[in-house]
Amino acid sequence: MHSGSFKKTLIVLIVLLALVNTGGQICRLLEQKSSLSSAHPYPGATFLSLRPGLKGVPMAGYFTDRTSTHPSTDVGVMFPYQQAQYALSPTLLDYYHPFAYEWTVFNTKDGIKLVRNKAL
Amino acid sequence: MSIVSLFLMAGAAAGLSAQVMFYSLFLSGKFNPAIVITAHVVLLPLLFLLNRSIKSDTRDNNTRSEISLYVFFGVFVLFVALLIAWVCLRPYGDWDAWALWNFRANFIFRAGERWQDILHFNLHGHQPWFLPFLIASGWAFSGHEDMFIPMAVAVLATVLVIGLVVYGLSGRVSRGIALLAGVYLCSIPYFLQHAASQYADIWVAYYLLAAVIGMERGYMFLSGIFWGLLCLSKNEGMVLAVVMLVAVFMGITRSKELWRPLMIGLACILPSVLIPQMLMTGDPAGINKVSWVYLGDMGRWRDFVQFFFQQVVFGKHWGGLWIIAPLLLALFRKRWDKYTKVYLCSLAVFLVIFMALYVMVCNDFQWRMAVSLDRLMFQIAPLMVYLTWKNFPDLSSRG
Repeated sequence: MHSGSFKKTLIVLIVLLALVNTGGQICRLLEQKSSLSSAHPYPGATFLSLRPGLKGVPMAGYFTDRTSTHPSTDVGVMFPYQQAQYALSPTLLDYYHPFAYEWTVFNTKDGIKLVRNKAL
Repeated sequence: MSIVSLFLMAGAAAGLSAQVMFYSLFLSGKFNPAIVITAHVVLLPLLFLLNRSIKSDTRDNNTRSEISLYVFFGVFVLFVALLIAWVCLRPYGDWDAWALWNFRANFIFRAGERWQDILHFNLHGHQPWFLPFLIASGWAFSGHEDMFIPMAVAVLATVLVIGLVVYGLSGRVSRGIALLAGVYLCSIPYFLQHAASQYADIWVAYYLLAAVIGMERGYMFLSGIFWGLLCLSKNEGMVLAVVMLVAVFMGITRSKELWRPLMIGLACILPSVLIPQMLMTGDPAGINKVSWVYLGDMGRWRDFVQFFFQQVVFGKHWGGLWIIAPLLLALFRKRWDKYTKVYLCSLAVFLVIFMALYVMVCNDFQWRMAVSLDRLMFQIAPLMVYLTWKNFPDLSSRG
């Protein structure tokens, strides 16, 4: 059995916690707002210049010179790759077989370019 | 008609939109806005018929005048404003939003007759298709691919979850307690932030809660539809649906009269879950690969428990939910009804299953926990709030 005052205390504590949580949320929101630029870049905007070259191409390879022991979970590899994929859809980019297609998207230190694989 | 049925029917309407997109894609072979819009016009009246078949709960009617819509709006305007601010801060959503869910929708929209190519490109594992179908459906109406539809879908789902918690509790507990549950849920920093991320987790949370509330109120056909949509929302949703339905069958009722409409509702949705799953091939990244070998690795179990307590139970972003909910449930355990017992047991089983899956994962174990454990807890958080506050006694009652 719980007395009425015990329940009231519980409710007051939960209300206080909710207030603290909400205050923290507002502060965090304001912090993030100031740290972000007002412009929201399209994910993979840097790859958009390659879009015309891939028009009508269903599949292409994707090559990066960044090496990793665990590429599938490496943010440095997967983030630009998946951004490229988003921007260049509906062309599907194959990270795991970069040179198995007529076209390969190169994302290296030298920049971003689309290269035709002459061997195919 | 009770207000809770409005929050249920809105979720059913979202499910219907996703179904329309699924069937139009498979039957017409490509993204076809004319078919999608026509099908909506023809099928939406069915929802009104379904809504009329829902019997109003007398307990809702008793308290309907107490829980005024104005009070609800007054308290939640701040939270909806916060939610919209979070959404506007990241209009393309977080990583998985553009890399998985919206990317799939983009592909359906852009690829024309080759849309099925995406079924063989599963960098994120074989996830179901609810959110991409729903977003693509929205783009069929807007006529172009934009970021407004995914943003609006995230806001809609969150508002539905909040409404369902508050009005699902109405008639079960007093007005103040029901509102407190909603306010506390919204105050959890991770809840609004992640809801705004445009991930499918908010839909898992919604359909789980909707299925549970539908079942408690005896809307078995509708509940069956929601269990199906839960399966369609995410892989975790499939596990939740199976675990909870088995628990309900074993612990609450085996009555054919109740199970028949539920199974019919579930069967209406299952083709859209199973057909894409059967067609999807390839998982080049293999991020979901597991191995039994790791099950005996005590170091991993210890790491998991340590991470769980640090990140979830004592994580600031959870606003104390995973301390308060178990505490309140334990305090008022004598008030638990059979549903509460069965649902809590199912949630425990669900967590144990995923704990084992985390331990067994072949890929980077620490990375896996860091990126997905919070999301898993997010999916069950609204149900936990609902169950916790459902058993909260009125101030006037004893015990």
